[in-house]
Amino acid sequence: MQIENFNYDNRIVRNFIIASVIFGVVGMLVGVIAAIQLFYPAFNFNLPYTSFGRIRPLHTNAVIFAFVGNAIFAGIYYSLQRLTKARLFSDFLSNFHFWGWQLIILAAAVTLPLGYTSSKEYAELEWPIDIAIALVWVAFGVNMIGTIIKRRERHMYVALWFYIATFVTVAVLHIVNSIELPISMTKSYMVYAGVQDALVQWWYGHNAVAFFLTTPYLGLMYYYLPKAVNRPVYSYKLSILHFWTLIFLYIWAGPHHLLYSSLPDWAQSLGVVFSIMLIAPSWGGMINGLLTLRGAWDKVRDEPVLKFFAVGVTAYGMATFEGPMLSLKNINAIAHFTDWIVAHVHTGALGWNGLMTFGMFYWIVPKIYGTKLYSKSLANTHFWISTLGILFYAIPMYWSGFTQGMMWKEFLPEGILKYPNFLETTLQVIPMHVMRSIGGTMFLSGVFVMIYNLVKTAASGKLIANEPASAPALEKEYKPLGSHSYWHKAFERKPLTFTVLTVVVVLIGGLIEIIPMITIKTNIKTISSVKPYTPLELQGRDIYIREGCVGCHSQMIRPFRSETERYGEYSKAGEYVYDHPFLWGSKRTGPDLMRIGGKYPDSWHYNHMIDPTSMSPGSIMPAYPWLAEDDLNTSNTADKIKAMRTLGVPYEAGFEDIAEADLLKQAEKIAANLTKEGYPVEPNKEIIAMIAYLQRMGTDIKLSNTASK
Amino acid sequence: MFKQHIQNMSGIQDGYLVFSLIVFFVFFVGIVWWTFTADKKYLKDMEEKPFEN
Repeated sequence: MQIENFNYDNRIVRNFIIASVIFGVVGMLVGVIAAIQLFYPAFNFNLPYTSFGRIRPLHTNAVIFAFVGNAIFAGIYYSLQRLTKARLFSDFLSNFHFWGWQLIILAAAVTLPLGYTSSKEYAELEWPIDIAIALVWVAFGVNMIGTIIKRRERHMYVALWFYIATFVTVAVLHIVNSIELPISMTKSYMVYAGVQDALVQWWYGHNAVAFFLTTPYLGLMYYYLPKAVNRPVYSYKLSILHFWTLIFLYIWAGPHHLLYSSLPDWAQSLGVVFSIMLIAPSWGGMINGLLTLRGAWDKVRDEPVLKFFAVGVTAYGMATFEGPMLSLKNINAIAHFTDWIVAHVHTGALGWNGLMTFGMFYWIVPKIYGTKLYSKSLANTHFWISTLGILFYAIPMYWSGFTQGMMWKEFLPEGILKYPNFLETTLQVIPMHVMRSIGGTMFLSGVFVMIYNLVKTAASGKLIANEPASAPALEKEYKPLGSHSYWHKAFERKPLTFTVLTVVVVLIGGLIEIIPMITIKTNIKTISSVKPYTPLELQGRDIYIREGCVGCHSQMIRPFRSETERYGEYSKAGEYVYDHPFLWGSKRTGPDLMRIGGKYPDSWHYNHMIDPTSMSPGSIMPAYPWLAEDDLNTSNTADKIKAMRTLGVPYEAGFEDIAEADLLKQAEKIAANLTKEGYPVEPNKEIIAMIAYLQRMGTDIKLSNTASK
Repeated sequence: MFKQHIQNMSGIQDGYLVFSLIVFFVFFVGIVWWTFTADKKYLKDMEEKPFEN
């Protein structure tokens, strides 16, 4: 048998680790700033670029795609080479992948504060960046599958399956959820509208959690946990069972983000049923991880890497139990739109992704620098700071979530809301928000302890950029492992077949969920009084999108008495047919705005936007003084009307030619109104468009008393 | 609770959701069948893969 000599690329692993840590610090810091803004609004600095609505997506994108993303690539590239006994497929692709991904992150860091956003959660980046993401992602996939194809190891270990599933599914999700019609380089409209857009978004959003934050980390767990504890995984059978069931089930569960919304009931039920079933494969993974530590808990006491892994996997177990529970309609009725969801997400993000990442870095860095970890006690310190930080973060947020959910629903015996002023419920949870920011700060400070420790470790050794290795070449003749042959073995040694099979499995659930929504118009009852937005309202809506209002305000009144009492008539699917994109939101830091139209005079909105506390004393909403100073850009009005018509909004032919005049006429009317009420504003200011949109919201069916046909 | 879900589902095209459940069930049984008939030696070898380097 011929022994071949080759070497592993450790430099690319090191580079991804550095990028992950740097962007992790940035992303978490932005998170802490956003957290402080929620009890100390002056931290918005009265600047557009640093206001909550714009930096919230910056935080989520930075921690998900920059911190976690780079960590995934580091972890995959290290383990992939060793599990395939081959150097990465192409050094060029490795570097293209690395630099391409960092450029995308920089582009996000510039465009999100500038307000260039699609407003779709975790998919906010505008279309040119979406295309770049697709290209770099494909480079990653080719590099990975290429490496697997030229491997010197016949069978693909379970970790590799998870990596493959990650690659193919994220590609599918990203493409389907990014189909937009460009207006300019920095602005596009989603092709989907209203309910359809919501379903596609949460099919994407839920599976971004599944296939960006879960499957790659399970793959990493299956490699690094056995390595660190130096014993094989508890049950390989269980790993096969939970891999296939997990990727098959996850993709169906997205609609649980839309319970009690205008999404058709059957789709909601489908989401609930599959979400409950998801406990099984999720816990299969957790149990497999924790039981790998069986009989080795003494090692956990001495080895900080294992501490991070043990608590990380436990956090995964907690989050994946809580997820299905939250998808029960009765629990969701209270939890949705509250801080409970924020707590749930951070149990997963800080506990599972964060701690697993830290454990992995503490394990890899000494290996690729040919040395030992500089200080175990500092790593232990990091472990305790971050674990306590998670508790300080999550517990107050659970408390806050329950409080909000209960206060929103509480009635007096007389049958009126006990807290009719939404602001009361916001102010009630301020102390919890203060504590949460302390928890987040603790977690972040732990990262600095890690940086010091890892830098010292690296300094005590030298990077083995090309680590020599040798292995026998892959035999041409296949000799089956074990006594007789089974069909799964056949897939496992054929990476391309395996990849295709994974795509098929993932697509089944996605198609069953999405096809009826896309093809069957009858799912959405049209409402004759619902009309397209006027040009001014459309421009106002785009400002609403730019400022990230959707981060704190929903536009979805659920059919509960507590909500119809507070906000007005519950939302109908037919009201959103012209909403490209939908703006239902997922969090109510402020009240729902579905029926805000006509509730207050124009001057109230004017004052409220310039200084929210002038109208709502104690409000934590940021001020938007620039809206009254900046001129509305109307040069693109005609293009926007044309684009909307292309997407099916019934503007009359030639309307784009008179859109500008129509816009001006409506603006002058609002400006005159404001002047009459004592606030002289020029009609060409952005705030006029914003007021026009706010005053329109939800009024179509107020006027007609729900003329459904 | 389950009754309610089933009632909700009956509204759409006949058998659509039942079909999806059957698809899942068949898939799941297939995987369970595989794991229970898998060869011990093969599983043992696979488990050891991370330690070969």
